[in-house]
Amino acid sequence: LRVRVRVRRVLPKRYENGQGPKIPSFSGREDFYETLQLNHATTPLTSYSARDIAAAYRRVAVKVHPDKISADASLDERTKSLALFHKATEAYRILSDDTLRQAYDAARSERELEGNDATATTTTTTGDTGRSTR
Amino acid sequence: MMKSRIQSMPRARTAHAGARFSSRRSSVRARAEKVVGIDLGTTNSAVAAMEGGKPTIVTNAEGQRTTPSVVAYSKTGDQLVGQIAKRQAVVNPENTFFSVKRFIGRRMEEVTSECTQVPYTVVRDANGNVKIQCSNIDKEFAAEEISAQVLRKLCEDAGKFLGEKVDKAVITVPAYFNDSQRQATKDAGKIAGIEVLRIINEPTAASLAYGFEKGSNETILVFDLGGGTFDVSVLEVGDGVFEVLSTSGDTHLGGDDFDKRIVDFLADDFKSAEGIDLRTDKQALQRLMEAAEKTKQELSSTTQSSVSLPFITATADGPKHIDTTITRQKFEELCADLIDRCRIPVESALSDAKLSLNEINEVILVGGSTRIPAVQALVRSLTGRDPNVTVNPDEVVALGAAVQGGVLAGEVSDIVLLDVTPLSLGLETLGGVMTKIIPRNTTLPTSKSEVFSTAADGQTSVEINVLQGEREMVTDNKSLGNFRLDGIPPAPRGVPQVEVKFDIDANGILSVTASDKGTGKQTDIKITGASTLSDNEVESMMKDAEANADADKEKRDAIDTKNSADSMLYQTKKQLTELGDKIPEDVKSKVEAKLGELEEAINSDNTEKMKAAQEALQQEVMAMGQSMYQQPGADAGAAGPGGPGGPEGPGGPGAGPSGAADDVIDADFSPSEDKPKDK
Repeated sequence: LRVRVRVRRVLPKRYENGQGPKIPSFSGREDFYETLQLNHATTPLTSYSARDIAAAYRRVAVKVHPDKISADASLDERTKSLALFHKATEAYRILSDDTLRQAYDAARSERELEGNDATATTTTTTGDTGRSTR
Repeated sequence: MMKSRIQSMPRARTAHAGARFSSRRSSVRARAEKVVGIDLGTTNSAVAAMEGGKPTIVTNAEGQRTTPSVVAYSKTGDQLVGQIAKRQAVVNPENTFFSVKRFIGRRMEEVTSECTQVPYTVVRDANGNVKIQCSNIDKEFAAEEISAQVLRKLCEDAGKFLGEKVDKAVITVPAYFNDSQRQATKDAGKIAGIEVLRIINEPTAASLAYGFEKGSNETILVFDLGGGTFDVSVLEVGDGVFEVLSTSGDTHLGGDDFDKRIVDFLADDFKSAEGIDLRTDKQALQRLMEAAEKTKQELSSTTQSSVSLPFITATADGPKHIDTTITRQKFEELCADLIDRCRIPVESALSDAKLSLNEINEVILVGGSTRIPAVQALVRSLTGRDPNVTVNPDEVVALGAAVQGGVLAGEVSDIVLLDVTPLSLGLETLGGVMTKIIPRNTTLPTSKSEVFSTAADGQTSVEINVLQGEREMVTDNKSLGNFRLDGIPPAPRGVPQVEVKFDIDANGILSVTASDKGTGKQTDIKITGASTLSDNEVESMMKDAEANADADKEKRDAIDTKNSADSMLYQTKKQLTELGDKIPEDVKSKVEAKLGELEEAINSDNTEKMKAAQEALQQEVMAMGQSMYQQPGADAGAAGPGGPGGPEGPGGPGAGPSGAADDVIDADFSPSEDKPKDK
């Protein structure tokens, strides 16, 4: 590819209105704890320390990092494990940052409460916060 | 070597359990190829491989553990690589290429200061990229090609050392290298005919070598000041995971800059005394640079060093010399600002990692320049602790690359490296600003996408300018390349949705795709940015390099043949005179005839003829040797053992004379058996 001289006229514009890094709005739908294989059915979310989360991420990363996939794995296997790695890394990015984790935890418990009210299909183990089973 | 080959086999067993194993038997039996780790340095390079489960430095053909990253072309057009190239730099400054790493993957305007620091000619090609001129063979080289020559030598030497072909490698680059520089390094490997399995960062490699076999959880800071670049990485090591938290650096700072300060000091001094600027004389400049490097190295262990450069130039008054002394204090004064520049990346790496100094468990020094006492003092003052000096700063990067090679080959199973992208990636948006898509220090591999729209009503295409850097404005960042997505249905501005996806693989190399969500139309572009070679160029350079390698092999073969022919001619003649009349006339005349043929072949400089003539002469010489022993008066000494030899006789005597040509042992025995018969 020979790169042509840059045309300054045509510039893509950010489609979304939000500019710059801000705390993203979490839907609470994605389960970052589950991604890191942290069992939140038995442990309250907030009780996981930063160290627990780091250790959990490492356990997952060692399994799904592209380097750990055998050289003769199929393209499909590769893509799958790469996607898992991306997911785990994103989960770790959120959960290892205090601000982001708080925002996520809040969104999550909100959603779960809503879920409880609306359908009441969630199994509640203790009484405090309902946890949806996926 | 055999052992290490076998070691790589368990991979196949552990990675694929059960039924699939049997079908893979054949591939298991096929020997796993060695993956070497290469530290392709600015001034020196090193190679390592996993041997018996441990990374080990591979020595080069000259027996050295590091190889100067120098390529030269002699007046006769011969290519020289490594120490041999470095040694002749003074007499051939314009055709001796060193510190090429400073130019790799760069555009001309990025390296204006570097260009003036080297005695060879650096020119701008039609695309604004750097080309290196070689007057001796009248050719312009890309920096990738020069690096490829170094890589080729490293792998060939490693192949000899390891006893097997080496064509797979993990190559290290400074952590702060941008996408173009990484891509260019990968291209260099390709040109050299090497499959580059992975590009990894030098400080990360160093941490791998350091933390390999270490079970403990630690947070470490790697301070890597090499020949041309400076990197700082903060890592967390534990549970077999090497996780880079942050990385920072300066790609224009290294040992070369320290040398330059000494050169300038000496040259300025000389100029004020003699009125001559030595920097305009390429040969003098080369001598100054070598002296400066030596002085700098000496000042790491002594407090003063003498610089003696006799006959550095000549005026009408006669020859001029440099004879002076530089103290360590003077050196530190000359380099104070350079040393101070190391401060910023350390601080920013720590702040990016959100760590304070007391959370760092270990500071590791990498790169030859960290031997400078002032640099060590700076590290001590910055980090408040004594740096770890258990690793060899020249070798640790190659060792780490070998560990990663082992990981990729499946030899090392319980380690994984999580590296980060050193610089933010994004694209140009309205108003000439950079919108970041992947922020710096994001763990690799990664994939991020974002939706953009058009800036004008009815706009049917968007031009995507991919950028790398930390600055707000486009012009302050590095443009990796542009591409265009056409065929967007006309719509008011802001309506079309263009999704741009950035993927960075584990090598830190970026690929970008853009798709129009309305039409599903996709442009897929592997970023081959403005400062890297196109696939076609790489391809043709690869062919070129291969052809040259073949030509070199032929040349070497010709030289070797001629030398051995010469030596054989001499030896045979010597034998003829020494043995004199002991040789039967008929044998002698045959040998002399063949000698004549060989001499003629040598004089005509025909390699094939020489080979044939040598072969023929060899036969006659053998026969001559044999006839010596067959003579009655050959030697009394043989008579003794001759007796016991007799009984085994039957087959021996017959086989001896005829099959003598290539069986020395046989010929040795036959006379003792033959002798009684002759008598």
